[in-house]
Amino acid sequence: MKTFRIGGIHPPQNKLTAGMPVTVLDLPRRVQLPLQQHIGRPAVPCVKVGDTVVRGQMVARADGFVSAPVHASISGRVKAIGPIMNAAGYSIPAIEIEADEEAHRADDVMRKAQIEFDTRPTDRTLSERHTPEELRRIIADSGIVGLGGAAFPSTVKLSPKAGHEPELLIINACECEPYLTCDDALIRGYAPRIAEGIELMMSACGARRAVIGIEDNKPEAIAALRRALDPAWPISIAVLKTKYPQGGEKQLVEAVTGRRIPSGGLPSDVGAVVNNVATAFAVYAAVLCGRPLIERVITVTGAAPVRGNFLVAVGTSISDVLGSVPDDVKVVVGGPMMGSSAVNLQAPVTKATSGLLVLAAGETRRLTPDPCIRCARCVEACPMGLEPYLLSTCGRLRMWPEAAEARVLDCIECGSCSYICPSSRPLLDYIRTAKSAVKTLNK
Amino acid sequence: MIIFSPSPHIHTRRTAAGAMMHVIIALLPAAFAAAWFFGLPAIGVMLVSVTACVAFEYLIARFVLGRRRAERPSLIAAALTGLLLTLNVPAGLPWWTVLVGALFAIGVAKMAFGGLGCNIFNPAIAARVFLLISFPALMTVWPVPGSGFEAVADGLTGATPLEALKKFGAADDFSMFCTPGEMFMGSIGGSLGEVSALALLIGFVYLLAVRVISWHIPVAIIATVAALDLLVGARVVPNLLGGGLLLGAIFMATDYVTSPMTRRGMLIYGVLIGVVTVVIRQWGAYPEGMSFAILLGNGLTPLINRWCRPVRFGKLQKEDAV
Amino acid sequence: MTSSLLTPVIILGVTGLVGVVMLYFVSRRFRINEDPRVGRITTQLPGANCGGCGLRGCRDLAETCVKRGNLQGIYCPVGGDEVMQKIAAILGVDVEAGRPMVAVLRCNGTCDARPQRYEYDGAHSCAVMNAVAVGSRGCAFGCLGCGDCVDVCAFGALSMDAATGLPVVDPDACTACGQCVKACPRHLLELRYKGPRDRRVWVACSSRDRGAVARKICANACIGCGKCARECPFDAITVADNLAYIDFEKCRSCGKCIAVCPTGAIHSTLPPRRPTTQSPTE
Repeated sequence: MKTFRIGGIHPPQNKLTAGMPVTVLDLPRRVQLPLQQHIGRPAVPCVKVGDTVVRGQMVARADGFVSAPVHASISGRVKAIGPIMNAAGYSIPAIEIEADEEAHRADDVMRKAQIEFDTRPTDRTLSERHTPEELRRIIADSGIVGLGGAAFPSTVKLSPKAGHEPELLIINACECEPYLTCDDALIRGYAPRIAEGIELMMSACGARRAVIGIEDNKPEAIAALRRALDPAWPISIAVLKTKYPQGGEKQLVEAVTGRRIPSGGLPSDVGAVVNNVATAFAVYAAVLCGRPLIERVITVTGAAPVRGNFLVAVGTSISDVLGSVPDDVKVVVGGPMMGSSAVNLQAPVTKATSGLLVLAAGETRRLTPDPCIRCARCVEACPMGLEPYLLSTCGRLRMWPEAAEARVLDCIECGSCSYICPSSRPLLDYIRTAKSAVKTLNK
Repeated sequence: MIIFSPSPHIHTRRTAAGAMMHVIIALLPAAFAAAWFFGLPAIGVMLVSVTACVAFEYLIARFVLGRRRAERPSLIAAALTGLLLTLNVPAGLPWWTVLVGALFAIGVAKMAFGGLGCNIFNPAIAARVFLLISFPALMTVWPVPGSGFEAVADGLTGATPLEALKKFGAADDFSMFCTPGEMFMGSIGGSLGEVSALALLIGFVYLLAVRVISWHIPVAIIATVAALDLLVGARVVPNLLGGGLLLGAIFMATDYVTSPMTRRGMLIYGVLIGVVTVVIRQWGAYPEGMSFAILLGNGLTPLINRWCRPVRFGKLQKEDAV
Repeated sequence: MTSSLLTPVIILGVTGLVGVVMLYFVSRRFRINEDPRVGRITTQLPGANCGGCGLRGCRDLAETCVKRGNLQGIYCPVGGDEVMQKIAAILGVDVEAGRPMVAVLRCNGTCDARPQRYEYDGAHSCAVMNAVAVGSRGCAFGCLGCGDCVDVCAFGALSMDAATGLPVVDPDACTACGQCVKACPRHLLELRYKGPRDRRVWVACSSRDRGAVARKICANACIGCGKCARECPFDAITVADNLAYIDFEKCRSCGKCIAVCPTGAIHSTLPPRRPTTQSPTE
């Protein structure tokens, strides 16, 4: 079975919500929609305070090519446009919408119908109506960004330079993060629709083949995909041996194709483009059903009061999703390896949120760091073939040029080194500092 | 109160202290064999050494370096050093010599360099070499092994297989001296821990099973020694089983702090130690060359690390352009 | 007997001779002709290599000013005017006296004013904490308390005060090299003129949150009310983004603003004038 070759770790899977279907979470009465839920320039509001908006209406337009618009995820009235606190506690610009009672009920009815439609058998003739340009425009206008966590605007990825069309579209269904099962649940429930989304993406970017990279710890999802895919289609499944960080773009491309993206390069350098499986579903919903990206599946897991895979409207506050959380916990937005830790639970769920993980203090609290014993576990674990102990020391001692020379910018911040360090040293913490310092110096 | 930190938010359960405990456990068969062949006093010497090393570590950390506390892994590492030190000296070494060795191992070879993780040379090996050079007479008196936890009563001493080999050369007289079976089980003269190849191999299998060490260094050393012995026409079996080779290759050369980081580096390091060992044994003045070879390998480790960087993911784009 | 003595003597002699010849040629080949003034200037400099002058270290400063032949734009904040005079003498040029500067902390979010809200569990570094979240005290602009500034100070002029959780600048030890200014991820340390007779006034807060929000997070925050700006007779105070700033070029250290500040966010080194004012602490 295939996998990437350098480094990698095997943290305990802890997929507590595996096997749970996608559950629809009720629409909230109030949403906060950050203007920047993606990489690139923030969106520009195109509504005013007091305006009435309907669910799915664009409330902020993209500012340039590398940007994404934001749509209202509930119907109601624009209450405020201004700063809110994000999960880290920093202030960010956002649009706040308050639900209108009557419209709210209508939204509910509409949403139920949409979800019901998604589970029906597929109609394949629909996808041939659009040219690649039209497809890319719809994807851009629907505010679709990479749903794996980085939230890079999908149109950018799907718009190859003329003559450099990717030969291969790789769909990332690895979900290598422990705990998270949202992609798994999505595939098990909506595999035929994902297949349609993949077809649309292929015609948008001109790729002639597509491969779905999925780890062997999701047998049900693999079976669902096998059922949904006609062997005659140019879409195949690559079952990969479970290893973290297989979902890293560079690792996945290597696992699937055997080719390594050069340092500082992109998948297009080896003729591939990588998109998340949830993004494929969003493309289907946008192109074939006209639904912009206003809701997504997230995994709520760990010590949360209610666990599950929920379909959540973007902009719902974290505390609305989680309910009450006990004291002395860490709330992680995303997975336990790469997710960020939240301090403000009033902050909204965004397009990039793949999960909410509640970790009890006992599970997550770090041990006191001991001296480095030069065991080289971090070197063995690093999927980029770097020397984390060295980079971390450079970061701690502020030796930026040395860090740059040791290729700190190649670091993908997967956290394997910090995870594996037997002396519990905070390796990645300092590597990240070095990375951002080197980036600033290079500018 | 909500806790926050950078990612990752989970951590492996394996700790440095745990890894060292595994090494100590892996040494227990060898320690048992030492007690079996050289009597209960051997256990006494081990306890003295372990206690002394831990005590020196604690005292130096607290009162010489002025640290607020001595970290737990450092103390366990000191215990391991103490155990390795006694396994590397002959039975019947006076206890004060062991204390001097322990002080050198912890005080000079380890703490003077900055403590755990900063030492260049393996403390136990450095101390053994220090004792060998300082007290050559005491360090080369080899009691004849007894059995069943009883030492030979009248303090009979003899030669180690390697000393015999040096004396007899490749002549047939050596076969009369000891058999491969004796060397494998351990009823031969030698340092406390090195006599029983069986006990050491059990430890090796254990260390591999719990993934504390990888096979690269020990296998590289042993294979190099075997191959070179064949090449120069030395006796292979006594060279592998009769001296400190296995103890050194499995437990001393694999010390994390003083051995290279990458697999490629480990192989180079192993081959280097193997070659030096054979050269010293074959043409040098000492019948045993393992400790010197490991010290030399330790000294070269930073260079090897610099030479053998890990294989990096993806080519540099600049390199492509050039 | 003679030969056994002679052999080592010859071997040693020949080895030595070969070495001498090699050294001679190597030193000829790699000789660098350096202006002797560079060495003399370098010995005058403090030798801390702190980079406070904006160059790469003391030797770089010496080389740069010898190369340029003047001292325009070059100033060693650590050595101060005294050292600059000596360098000027070596170069044979005149030098203007610089105004001595000192680092001040623009935050007074003490443990009492800004109690801990979240528990931080990462590496003990402000830069790391700043990248994760607002910090354990909930203020997005204030001091994080891990002491990155203390770590980089080469002169021991900074120390953490356990009672307030904030760093303290020792104005006598501070050389205004600016390393702490660079190290603080929130740019809370600022180099300001030491002021006439060491009297200086500054706003000890950097919060650009709206007044109500800032006040909720920290009792000592500047709320941007602008009273100080109206009070200032020299137009030295401006309020922008809910934050007052005292221009040290214009400030005459009269201290009128201190009395009107409702939150005690303005700190100074003036002797306490009236018992009613918030005691200015440093």
